[in-house]
Amino acid sequence: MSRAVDPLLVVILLLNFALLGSSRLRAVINGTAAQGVALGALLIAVPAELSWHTVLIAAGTVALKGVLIPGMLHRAMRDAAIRREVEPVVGFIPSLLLGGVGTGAALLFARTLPLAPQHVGSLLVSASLSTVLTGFLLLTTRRKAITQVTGYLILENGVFIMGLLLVEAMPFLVELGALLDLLVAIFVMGIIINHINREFSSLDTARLTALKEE
Amino acid sequence: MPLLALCLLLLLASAAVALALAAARAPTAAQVAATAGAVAACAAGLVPAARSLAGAAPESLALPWSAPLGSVHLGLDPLSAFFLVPLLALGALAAVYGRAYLAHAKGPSSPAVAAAALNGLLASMVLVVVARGAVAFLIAWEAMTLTSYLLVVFDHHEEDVRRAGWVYLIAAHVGAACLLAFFLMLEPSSGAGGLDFEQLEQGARALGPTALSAAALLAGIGFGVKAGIVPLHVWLPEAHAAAPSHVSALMSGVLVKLGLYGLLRAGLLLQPPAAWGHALLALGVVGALLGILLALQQRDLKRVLAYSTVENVGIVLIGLGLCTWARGHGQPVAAALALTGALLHVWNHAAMKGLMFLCAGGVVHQAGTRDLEKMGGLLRRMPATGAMALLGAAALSALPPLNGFAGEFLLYLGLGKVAITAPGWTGAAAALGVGALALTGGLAALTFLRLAGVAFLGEPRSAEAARATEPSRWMTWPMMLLAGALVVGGTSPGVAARALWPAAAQLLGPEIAGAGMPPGLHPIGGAAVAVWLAVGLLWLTLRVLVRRAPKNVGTWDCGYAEPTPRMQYTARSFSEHLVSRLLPPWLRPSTHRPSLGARLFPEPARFSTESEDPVTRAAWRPLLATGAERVSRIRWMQQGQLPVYVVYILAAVVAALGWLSLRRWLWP
Amino acid sequence: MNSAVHLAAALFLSPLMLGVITRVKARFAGRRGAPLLQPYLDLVKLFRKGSIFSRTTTWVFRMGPVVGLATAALASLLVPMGGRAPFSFEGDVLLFAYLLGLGRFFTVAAAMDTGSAFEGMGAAREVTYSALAEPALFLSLLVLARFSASLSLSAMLGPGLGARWGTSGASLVLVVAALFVVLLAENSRIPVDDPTTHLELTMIHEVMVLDHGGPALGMVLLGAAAKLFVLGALVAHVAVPLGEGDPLLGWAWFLGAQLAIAVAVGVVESVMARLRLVHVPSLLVAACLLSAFAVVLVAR
Repeated sequence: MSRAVDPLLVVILLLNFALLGSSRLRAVINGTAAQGVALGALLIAVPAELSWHTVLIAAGTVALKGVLIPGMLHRAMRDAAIRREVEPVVGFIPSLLLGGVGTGAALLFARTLPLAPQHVGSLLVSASLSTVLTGFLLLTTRRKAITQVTGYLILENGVFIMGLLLVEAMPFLVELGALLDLLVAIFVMGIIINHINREFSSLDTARLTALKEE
Repeated sequence: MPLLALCLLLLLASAAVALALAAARAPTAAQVAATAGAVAACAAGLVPAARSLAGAAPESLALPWSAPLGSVHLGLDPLSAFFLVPLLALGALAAVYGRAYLAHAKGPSSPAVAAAALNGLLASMVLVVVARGAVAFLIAWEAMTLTSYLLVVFDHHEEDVRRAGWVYLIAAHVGAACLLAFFLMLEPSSGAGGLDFEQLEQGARALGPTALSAAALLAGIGFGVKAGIVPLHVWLPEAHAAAPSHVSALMSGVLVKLGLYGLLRAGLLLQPPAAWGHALLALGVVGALLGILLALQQRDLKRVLAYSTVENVGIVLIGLGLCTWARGHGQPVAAALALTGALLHVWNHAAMKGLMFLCAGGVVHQAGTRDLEKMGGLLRRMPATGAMALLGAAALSALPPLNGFAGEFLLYLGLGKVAITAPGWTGAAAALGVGALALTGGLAALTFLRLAGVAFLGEPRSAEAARATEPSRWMTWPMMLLAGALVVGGTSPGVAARALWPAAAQLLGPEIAGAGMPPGLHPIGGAAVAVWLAVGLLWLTLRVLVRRAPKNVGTWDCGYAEPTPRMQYTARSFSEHLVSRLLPPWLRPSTHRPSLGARLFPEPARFSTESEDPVTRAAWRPLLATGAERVSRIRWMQQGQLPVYVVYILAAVVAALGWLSLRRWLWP
Repeated sequence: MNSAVHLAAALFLSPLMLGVITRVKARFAGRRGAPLLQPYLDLVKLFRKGSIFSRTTTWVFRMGPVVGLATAALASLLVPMGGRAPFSFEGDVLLFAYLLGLGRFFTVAAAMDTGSAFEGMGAAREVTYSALAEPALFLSLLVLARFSASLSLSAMLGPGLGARWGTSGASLVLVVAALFVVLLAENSRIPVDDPTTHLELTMIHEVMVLDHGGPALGMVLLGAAAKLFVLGALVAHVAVPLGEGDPLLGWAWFLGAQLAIAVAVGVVESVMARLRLVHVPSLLVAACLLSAFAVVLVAR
């Protein structure tokens, strides 16, 4: 565990707040990309010794989460011709406040968990929980489908960070699991966005209530 | 064991090849590949099964697999071999038959995919029988359900086939859920966890009596759904009637028996006390009577056969129940007789019902309908199929000299022994059991005479039936092999009984099995030969005595001048006397009479009857309706908005995390 | 040797029973009646006649009489007559009942093969009533099995039965009554069916064989007679049991008992009318209940 871990985690926490408060879609997607790059860097920083396969996985993470997926999202944004996120259900300021409260709770909670000695005192668990919460908030309170996809991606990032706790014990499994379900999520999200757009000519997911059974 | 692995490999490989060829737009080649693979695989698999029944030691194979719940453990002991024999034999015949049967299928489904699914079904059934750990067992069980579902909904362009598929899928998964709970209940809490059958046996020994009863109930529901035990049988007639005929043959002949296999395996794990024999006996009697009473009301040819399967499963259960009871009450001879009879009936029924479904397939193929009231006179148009159907009908009525008699003979002997030796109410109950079995036999004769007589004898009742011809030889040859099995099984039943004795011995345990196989089938074989000889002799005598028989004369019918085919007794009229006067109202078909005299002038009116399963009508429909009504009160949770659902997930996660920290705080 | 005697008795002595029944009925009606040997003359006539087979029928139609006669003859080998039966083994009672069932199966199938409404009607009635008569037969035989602790007819109807009349007379009376009702039902006698009616709508057995003629009808007649003989043997052994003794005496007594049964059937046919068809099942269910009651009496 090198000394670069904690600063990287702080960067990730700050990116969470940025995502919660931003209303411009471009900024949201770029923030997600930045978080992906930070995760790649984290992957190199956390393990005690560096093997070439960790570098490879980190490069893949950066490529996927930092370049490829944000690229797809940008293209979706361009195709649907939208620029801004409409006013979310909870409002930008209240989202920020909720995110802050959640991060605080995560910090408190992390102290009660029975962690391995090298992980005690690190921000890994709290950052992970906070990122998960941010992802949930984005998923729940935003109306545009693209923002909800980024919310899901942030959620995955949070789970990934938690998996970093096990990077020395079961390296390959953790990485593979995280990357695999990310891939699946993108496919599903891509299909869903496409279908919502085609069905309702808009990406407003509030229209999905038309499918509710009466 | 390696041959068995080869068998599995061949089945899966041929299925994959068939799918690939189907995707490459070569459906005929795909079907041929699948069928050839199935036949080769079944031949390969029969060798180790026969060896195991001939007395080879049980083999096992453990495949290490780094899954969380243990390795994949396979084994072949006489019980598994017993169920493998009809599986592989009927599977090969069904594959050959199915290729010709589906070749003329009209509809959107691809026969090549169906052939591949059949191989998948056979492979998963083989795996169910040889699995020795709960994980492998449940995976194979689920695969069996899914592949058979794919085959059942082959004609999914028809509404009732889709509905039958749904009912089957739901019923099968209810059973699978109970099985999962059953296996988890038996997992030993101490020592190495794991779900291999040996460990489950230890876990079962550690259970108290109430837990044991609960586990037995779960196993009973889980396996009973598949076996078609009343009241869990309601999916059986729907699925077996909707599926293509070779699939129905396989399902009635083998799939249902795998439910019985599961019950026997659960019995080996749980070592039930003798008191459960009463429950099994009662379920068996109820199932047999209900099955046959519903069979004789059906208009659909395949539903008659499906309900008859329910009846025969009931008969097997009577044997199993008697054996369980007799073991604990000091009647080893009766136990051995009952179990041997039940197991023999399993084999016999697979052959008989397989033959009948294949014949029914030929009929449906040619006459274009499953409705009995539109058939007739098919024996003259399809002589071979009709003759074999009559043979099957006689065998299913348990008549000598065919094989159906032998299994029921042993069951009667077992019940009779208890009836004449046991004191008090036990003896009387066993005697009444004999009476119930006799009644079932008489009603079975009624049902199958109705089926065979209305479909094959007399004059055709529709134009399509008049145009029927013999189906292709790929369809008739499997039927002939099965018919031969019926005849051979009737004249030498001792051979089959000796072959299955190792499986019975494994189930009975060493004390009872040590006394040796129960005698008593020798004279039956001799009697069968005598019947064939006597009938043959008298037939020749009649040929000699009949002189000057003019041809092309109509039926005299007491001088009636202008008979038409519509004047013949219909299927409904055949069973009318029994159904309308001797059955309670809830067992009769429901009729919808037209309302007459309501208006001044005559209007079009309709009269119809339908024979819905009384268990569905009385038990399942109200239960599901009440359940749906209760559950609809939480319908408000379905908001239709994605964020709301994510909030539900978030709430669950927060609650779980909060519980974790709360727990650490309350109980440090 | 014993087999040949049994077969000869079943095939050659059984028409005499039919003659006796007809004679008794005629006497009750104040007529002289046909000669006692009339059924033999009928059989000879039929076996010499020509045949006609309808174009609707198939080999099943010819199988009906053949299987009916074959099974009745084979069943006679399982029933003790003057002495032990030629073939007896544990469970032969089941083979006996199911052989008769096989005969019935093909008789009904032959009836349905003609494609006629009347024969189908007879077929439907026949299978319904025989399904109800089966439990009565089995339960009565089980009572006898319990007395003899064996499931073989030769043991069940053997010498020990005489002593049983003293101790368990009540159950044996019930058994005789039930078996007699089964005899009437299976052989289409009044009150279940009228063998001399000419109204097809009231027939059961007669209407099933309507289209048979010539040798086939002869086989039907002979088979029916053999079946009456065989089932009568059951009733005879239970009602008038004989102990061990001289085989000649045994045969003489047996034939006397069969004649007595034939007379009893004739009497019943003369004093009763045929039941309405909807009441016949009640009679059969009553027979089942009688035998079930006998079972309970014996078991306690």
